[in-house]
Amino acid sequence: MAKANESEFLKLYQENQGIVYKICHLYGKTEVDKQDLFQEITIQLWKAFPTFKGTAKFSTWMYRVALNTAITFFRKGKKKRSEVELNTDFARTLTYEDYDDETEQRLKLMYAAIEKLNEIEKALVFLYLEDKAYREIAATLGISEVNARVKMNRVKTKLKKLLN
Amino acid sequence: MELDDLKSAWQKMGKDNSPIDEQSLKGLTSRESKSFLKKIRKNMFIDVVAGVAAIIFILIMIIQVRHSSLSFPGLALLVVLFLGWIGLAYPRLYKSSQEPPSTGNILAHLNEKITSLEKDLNFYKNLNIYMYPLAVVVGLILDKTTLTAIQEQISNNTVSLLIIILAFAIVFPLYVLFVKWWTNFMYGRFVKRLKDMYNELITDEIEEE
Repeated sequence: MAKANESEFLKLYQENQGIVYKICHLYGKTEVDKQDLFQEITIQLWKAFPTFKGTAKFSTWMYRVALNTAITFFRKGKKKRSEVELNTDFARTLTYEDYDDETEQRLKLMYAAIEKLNEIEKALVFLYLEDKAYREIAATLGISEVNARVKMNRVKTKLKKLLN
Repeated sequence: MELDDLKSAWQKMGKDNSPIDEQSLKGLTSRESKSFLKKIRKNMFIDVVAGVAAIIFILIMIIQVRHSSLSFPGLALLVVLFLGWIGLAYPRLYKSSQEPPSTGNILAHLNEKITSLEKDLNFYKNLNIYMYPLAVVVGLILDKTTLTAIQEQISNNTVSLLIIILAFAIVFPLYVLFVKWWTNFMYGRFVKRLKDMYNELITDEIEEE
């Protein structure tokens, strides 16, 4: 890593690392999956960093690289222990302390339902939960705004069905 | 519960995780990528190298068992072929696995991955279709004893030539079908998965038009 580049990347990464945690939480099934995906996204972000010109927000750029990596991060075969021991605990990313038992239970059910969605639907849900405007969701996915709205409505209906 | 009810919990997610330190980040970025696209290209390259190694091993065994006399032009041709196959496969399969990550939108990313993976699969398939039959032919040239026996058989009996041609006409298409099936069996599902995602994204786009 070049020193200037490295410190700039580290600073921007630390400011936005929540994005990576959330994507790993959404796409990884097991703790090892999440750790591996975390590692893969970080590698891809670092590799792609020279292409970041600073014209767009770092977070917007990060959404794209991280989602592109996550949707094509197919797992097969044995789930080996992650190569790098990370000081990350994905269980901690889910905190229910502020909620009563009933809400906590409902939140857990909602996460379980989201887990059943496919990769594209998860990307939609992720951007929606990040409170992104449909224009931005459409741009990240590469589809029209109308299409993004239609798909999001469909995902909401699917989630309702999964919850009932 | 609606998806919107999850938003506030979602915003809080990961807030308790301490920021990654410089040491951990260095450790992560110095690691090898575990991307499946990289893995399958490496696997395809290893397949080609393993194929070449298997041909060399079989030829050595045949030569030792049959005490064949070696033909120098055949041997030279075989060495050129081996080096050529590996030389062709290395930049196409091994080096392309080091391609930079996509920074475009998801649709463009999927399209890019489908195109490049299909090209590499075609290359791998064609290499396998021609590599092994060519090795058999060159192997025959290399093994003078067998070649002489075949030549004698053909000159004594013209039906033998017909049988050889017929056998080739049946075996080769069957072999081509097998290679196509094998390539699809090993790697086709990855292309299908990418295409499924791509189609899912564009489906409503087409309907809108």
